[in-house]
Amino acid sequence: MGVNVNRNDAIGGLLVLLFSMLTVGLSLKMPLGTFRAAGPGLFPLCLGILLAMLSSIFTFGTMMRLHRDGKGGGKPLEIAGSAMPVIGFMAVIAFAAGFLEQLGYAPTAFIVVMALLQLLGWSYWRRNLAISLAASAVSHFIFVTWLQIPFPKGWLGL
Amino acid sequence: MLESLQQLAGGFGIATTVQNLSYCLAGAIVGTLIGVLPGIGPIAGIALLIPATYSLNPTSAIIMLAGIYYGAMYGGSTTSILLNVPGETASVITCIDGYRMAQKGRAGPALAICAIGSFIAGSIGLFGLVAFAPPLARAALAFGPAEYFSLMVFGFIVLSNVTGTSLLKSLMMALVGLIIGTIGLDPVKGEFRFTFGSMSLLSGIEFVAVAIGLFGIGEVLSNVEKPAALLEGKVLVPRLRELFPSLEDLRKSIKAILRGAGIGFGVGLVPGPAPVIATYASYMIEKRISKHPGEFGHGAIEGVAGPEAANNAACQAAFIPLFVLGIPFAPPTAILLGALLIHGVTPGPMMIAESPELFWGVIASMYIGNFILLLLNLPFVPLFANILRIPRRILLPLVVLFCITGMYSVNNSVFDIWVMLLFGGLGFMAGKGKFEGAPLLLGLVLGPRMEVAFRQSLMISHGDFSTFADRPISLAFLLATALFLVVPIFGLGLKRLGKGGSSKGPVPTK
Repeated sequence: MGVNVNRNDAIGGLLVLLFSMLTVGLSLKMPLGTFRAAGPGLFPLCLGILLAMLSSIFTFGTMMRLHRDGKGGGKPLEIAGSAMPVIGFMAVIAFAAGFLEQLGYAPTAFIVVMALLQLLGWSYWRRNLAISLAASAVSHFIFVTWLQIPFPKGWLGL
Repeated sequence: MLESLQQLAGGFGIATTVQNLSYCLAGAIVGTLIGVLPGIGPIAGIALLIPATYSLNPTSAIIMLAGIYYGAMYGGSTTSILLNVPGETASVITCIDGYRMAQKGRAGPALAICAIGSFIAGSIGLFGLVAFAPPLARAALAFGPAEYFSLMVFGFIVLSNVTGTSLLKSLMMALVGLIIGTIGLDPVKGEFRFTFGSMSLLSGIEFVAVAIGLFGIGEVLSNVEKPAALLEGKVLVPRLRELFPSLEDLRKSIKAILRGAGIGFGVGLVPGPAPVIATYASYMIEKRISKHPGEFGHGAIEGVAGPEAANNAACQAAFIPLFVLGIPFAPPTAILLGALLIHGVTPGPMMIAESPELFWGVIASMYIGNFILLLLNLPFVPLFANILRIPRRILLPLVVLFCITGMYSVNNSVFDIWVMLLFGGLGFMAGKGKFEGAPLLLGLVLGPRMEVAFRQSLMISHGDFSTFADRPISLAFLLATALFLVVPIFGLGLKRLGKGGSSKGPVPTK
């Protein structure tokens, strides 16, 4: 039970509280039944209520402590680096999920590694190309050829 | 007991034939490789390789598949330690201290202690298997839904005490996991819940997607967020003599290994995700009894040794209900049951009498397999530890590629990659607020079982909640739960009282 709080705690608590309220709302739309013969909504409803109680205690407790410590009180937000690589990485994974079936496994693996190497600021094109080609070839051998996992072949049949 | 030992000796005769020995070796090697690849755990590994055993006799086939099983369980720990990517649930707890050890340049001792701990626990597990299989299996049968439910509640509280700095945060995450676990088909009535018309959500949220997302992708995102200079930062790479545990490490670990083996074996007999509960329980106990609990979460070797031993012992014990009762209590043993049936062997009380060569041969092969794993993995420690020498700018894209690949291969589903991405983002954000991912994972895994146990208990008792307190085993678990809840709160209260008292003391002079 840590007593060191920061604004991230309060935001996190609020998000969990919202999630619990959403759960309660959606559970109430399902048949609840009784405890003797519970419907599909009863168990998630109980969990949602319990989570709402805990997150309320946590959020308000955190806010009270922040208020008590003054406007600038509490632990400061963790100093973040650049958000761009994070967004970039997520975008590349989303690209892989979106285009794996169309492009096939090996081309997707190549593009993913190449794009991520570029995102991390490595501007050596030849080296990136070599690493990406090697990574896609080795992973294709392990997963597709050896383990025979049925990856999509895509337009190029790779 | 003497008869069992004689039969075990016969089993060793069967397991040490050149043919069976080579299948055991092949299974252990393939299992380790499968476990090392993020995303492909023992379940997928066994399932993928069942067709490869069609041409073998039943004994050789099960020896090989069992080798894959415990090889994969060990291999999963390697990725947990080196990359913070758990191959399966039971390895989640290894991430906590194992990964911290790797970050401090102590990946070698962590990996070596995993191998040693697994071997010792496997040996103890084998002895337990031979000595206590029939009576313990009968005891496990005494568990009804109320006992299961109370046991799982106990598991949550134990875990919430273990992880993070805040009990409240951990409990909230566990509840979020339980709620996510209700997505899909209602386990009792078969109605859709929270699926929003999506076919992909009918079978619920894939556990592996959540695990890889929260831990693997979340960790990668935390790394890439760091300024370039930090990313370039020197990775602590051990020197050769630092690759193996010191005498001090071994001294610290041995008791944790023995305790972990005991816990793992006991919990392994209980239905449910035994290796998961066993690793969490072992970690909790090690932290509680440690003279330096503050080191846990920052690279305490006992935090790796105990849970790894518990994991291995639980895997061994899981074979008891499978062989003696014909009931698989965990997904990997369920797949092994399928393999047994494919090979014309029906496990159950009559199996020992009807197929003694298979039963005792497989039991003996487990011991040999554990020895092979030790021989295999100790020399490979330097190789695995040197993965950390790869610059992070290359390693991180490769980890992402393996996460995507491993994720797709579980269900051959692109949807799982989206889920992994979503939980990757969530893991990244949760990490900023110091919300732990492990309780969420346990909630997700235990959720459906917990709901079934809860609803069945109340159905049997006609909605009377006292059923949980009326049954002695259930009551014992609930009392233990209350104890685990009250002790930290009581401790915090005392701490605050102490602080309050000291604040009333004399004001220091300037």
